[in-house]
Amino acid sequence: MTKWQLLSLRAILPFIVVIQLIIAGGTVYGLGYLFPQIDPVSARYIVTGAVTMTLIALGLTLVPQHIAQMKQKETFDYLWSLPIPRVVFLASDFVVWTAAVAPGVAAALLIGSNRYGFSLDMTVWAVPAFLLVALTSVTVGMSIAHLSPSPMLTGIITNVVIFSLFLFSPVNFPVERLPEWLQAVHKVLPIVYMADLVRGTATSGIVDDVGRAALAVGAWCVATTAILFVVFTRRG
Amino acid sequence: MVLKITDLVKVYRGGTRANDGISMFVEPGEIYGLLGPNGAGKTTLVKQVVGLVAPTSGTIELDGVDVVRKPQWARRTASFQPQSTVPIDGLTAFEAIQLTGRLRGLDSRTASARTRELIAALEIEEWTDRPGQSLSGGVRRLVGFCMGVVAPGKIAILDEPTNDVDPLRRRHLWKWIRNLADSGTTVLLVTHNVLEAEKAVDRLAVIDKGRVLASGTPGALKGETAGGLRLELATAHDAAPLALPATFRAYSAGRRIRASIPAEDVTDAIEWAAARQREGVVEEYSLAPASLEDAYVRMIGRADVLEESQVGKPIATVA
Repeated sequence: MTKWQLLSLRAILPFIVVIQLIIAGGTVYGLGYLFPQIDPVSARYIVTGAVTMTLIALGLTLVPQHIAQMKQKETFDYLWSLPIPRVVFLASDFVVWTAAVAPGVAAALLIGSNRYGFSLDMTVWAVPAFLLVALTSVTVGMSIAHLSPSPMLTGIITNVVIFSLFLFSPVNFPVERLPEWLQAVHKVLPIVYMADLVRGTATSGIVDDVGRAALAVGAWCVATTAILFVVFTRRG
Repeated sequence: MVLKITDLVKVYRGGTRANDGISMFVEPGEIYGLLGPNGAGKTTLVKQVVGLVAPTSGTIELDGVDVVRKPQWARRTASFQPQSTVPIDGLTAFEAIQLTGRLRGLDSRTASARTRELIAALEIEEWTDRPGQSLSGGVRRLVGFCMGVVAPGKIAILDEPTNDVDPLRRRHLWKWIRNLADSGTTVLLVTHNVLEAEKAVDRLAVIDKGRVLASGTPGALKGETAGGLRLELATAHDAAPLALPATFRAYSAGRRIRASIPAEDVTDAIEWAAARQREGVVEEYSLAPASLEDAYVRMIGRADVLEESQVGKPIATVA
């Protein structure tokens, strides 16, 4: 199934990889222009924030748009008639898309630490943590795309999500800077936990409780995977 | 029996009653046709068999297993060519067919061999390495057919396999279907092409408005029209509506009228038509043997369900 996905996306995947590279590297580099002076903590926020953004954008834009397109072409009518467990569809989607954004993630870390002159302090947990964040954002994005009644609505939802993510989510800055009500919202949403999980495993001294972040992201992952299984096994 | 459907009802959200108490069975190695106009409920029926749609009530047994409860069994037992185009963008025709074979359990070598065999049999070699998005509708359909039969399982379910396919390759396709059945695979196929159904299927069910109107062999379904003739008339532009003799069973209105004529009334019918032609009311008329489509149209109760290309060749035309 992964081969099927890879082959069918082979014309577009190189573009996606390049664009992700540009966006991830550009975010790291470009955000620096917003501030005249960047202290070491802010620099770490910006660099790890770009990683989180890349992983969330994967799940909340690339994947839902791809699914919306497949729904429009009634692709699932065919794919779901094949004798393949639904978990394999999820796994192969995840593998292909994560591989497509991996270079962007690496670029953000390398370019960022180089530009702002700090050395990364990656723990062994960084890779599994990044994968968990990627998987969670993919399952959230898939749930949105599958539950949304029309491809256009999916497009609108993902645009709104990305817009609010860039401006009102504590990915590139500490959550305390937001108004209290928004902080409360972020206690429930997975975004801040995703950012903390990435930050906490790629740098040291910024995030106090990485375990809590991992638990929260894990809970979102389990919940959205459960939703997906209901959606996948639901018949019209 | 391979497939047994009992009292199947499907009501979609919004109240559309797509299947309204369908019962039927299909025997092993049989080519079974589901014939009916657009919107009759044929596609809904096959989607329930392959487990894509859940019935509102009723049972579907595939190879003895209740697939309403176990849709995963249907996916293993039945291969499927959907009515919508198959998702082959980015894949070449060869890859799409070969990978489907692999996903349906063939080893790599067998899948490649079967793929080459199918491509040759349907004469689509020139598109073997073309990406799916550049293929025409007809070729995509043929690739979809190949994907549906490359590793067919116990039953191959084909939803309008010949749509958009040219006459030569249609013939290849029907030949492949017949071979498939001869080698033991049951074929359930959806069509709205009556002529093809008459020639290609062993048994069929005529479906309209979610119900089975009749089922049986094409010969049995012709019933009382068998042995009779069909008279086709083209009336003059300015002619008043034509009053037809009572023995005619007309099933088309407007300028072109088709009517089935019982065998014993054929001579009278010709005389009547010739007289109308002399009067200038009828421009031309022709006679052809009654076919399944006469029975079909009578059952469905309207003639607009036929495509022009489905009308049989006349045995005599008088213009």
